[in-house]
Amino acid sequence: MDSEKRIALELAIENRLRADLDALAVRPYVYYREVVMQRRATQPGGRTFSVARVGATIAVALLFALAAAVVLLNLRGPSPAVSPTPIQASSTTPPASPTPTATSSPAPLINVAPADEATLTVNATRTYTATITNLSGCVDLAFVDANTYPGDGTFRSAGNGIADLSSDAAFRSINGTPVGVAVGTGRFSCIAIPSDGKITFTIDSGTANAFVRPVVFYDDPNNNQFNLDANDRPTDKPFGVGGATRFVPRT
Amino acid sequence: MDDQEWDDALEACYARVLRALIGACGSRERAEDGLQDALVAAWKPGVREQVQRPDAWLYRVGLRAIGRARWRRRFEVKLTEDVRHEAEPSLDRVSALELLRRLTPRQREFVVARYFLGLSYREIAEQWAVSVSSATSTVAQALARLRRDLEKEDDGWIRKSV
Repeated sequence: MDSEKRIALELAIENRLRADLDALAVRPYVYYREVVMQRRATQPGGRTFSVARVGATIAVALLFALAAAVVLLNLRGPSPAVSPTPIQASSTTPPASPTPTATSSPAPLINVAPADEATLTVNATRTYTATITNLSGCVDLAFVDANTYPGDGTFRSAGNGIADLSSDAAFRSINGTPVGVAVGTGRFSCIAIPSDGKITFTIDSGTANAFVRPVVFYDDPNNNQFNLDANDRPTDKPFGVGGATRFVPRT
Repeated sequence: MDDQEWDDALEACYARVLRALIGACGSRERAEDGLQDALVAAWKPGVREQVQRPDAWLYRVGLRAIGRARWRRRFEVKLTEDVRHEAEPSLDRVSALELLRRLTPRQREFVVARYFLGLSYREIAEQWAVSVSSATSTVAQALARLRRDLEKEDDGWIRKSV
């Protein structure tokens, strides 16, 4: 298209557009201004309107999140999350006992003191105190040979599931009451557990070089034996072992 | 520029902008809707300080509003039956609109802006965010197409117009 034709075409289009479009009637500006003002009144402008919409959206989202959290908590029911104390205790400290009963009720326990080793002359006495907790009924008293007691929770046996007890020492008094048992029958069955759980007893031995440890145990099957399992560990629980006492001859 | 001055500037150009929108979209109804949207936008804070030519700005913003409405109209068309896109009866005899309907939407917009609103190629480029050469070539393509069609028809339209 040469420039002359182009100019002619441009002039023709310009004239035609102006002639035709300018002939179109339009409403007065007041009409549009009123319409615009009404729309601005119903839809507050621009930035404020956007901020209001964003705020409303966030508020609705928070309400939904809160409702969802409430529903989830209700579905889970009472849980450790409601009371933080058990969680804190379980997460910071190990359980006191591996047995399930440890959490529901305190585990029964027998502790015999003193636990250290002592050397006495024959016929001298040594006093022990068995502290029994969370247990009622009665316990048995016996001796084991300290030379064969490994101290790892096992006891020596003849392979019959019964611990070898020692008869080298004897109990002379229990809770202050003298007991006249000859050496060689150093065993007492079913000593009643007092209300304070403490049983004090004295031992002696006329056998030179006797080396014994007192054992206090709960005779669970009540067979007057200190029963062991296949690994030589006591099945009569609880039990407690006192410190070893060696009786040496008088010099 | 205070509110009164801004209102006066809009009043001075609104009629030409409305006619330009009618020429670009071929519909008075859509053009009026687009103009109203543009006028609402013109009163938003911070707009007037950025506008150099109110008529060019209103025209561009009005075209955007018409474009958005066209998208909505496409969905509406799918929900209705046999909607025909024909010019309104009152505009049938407007030969300029018949001429512009031969062009693409972008060509129509640029031709109206150039030959009715009197925008320069630079102003068109600024409003549509295109290069000056792109604006020039778009208008040139529109002219070439009109020239071919009119020569083929040989109805003496150009000679009569000139």
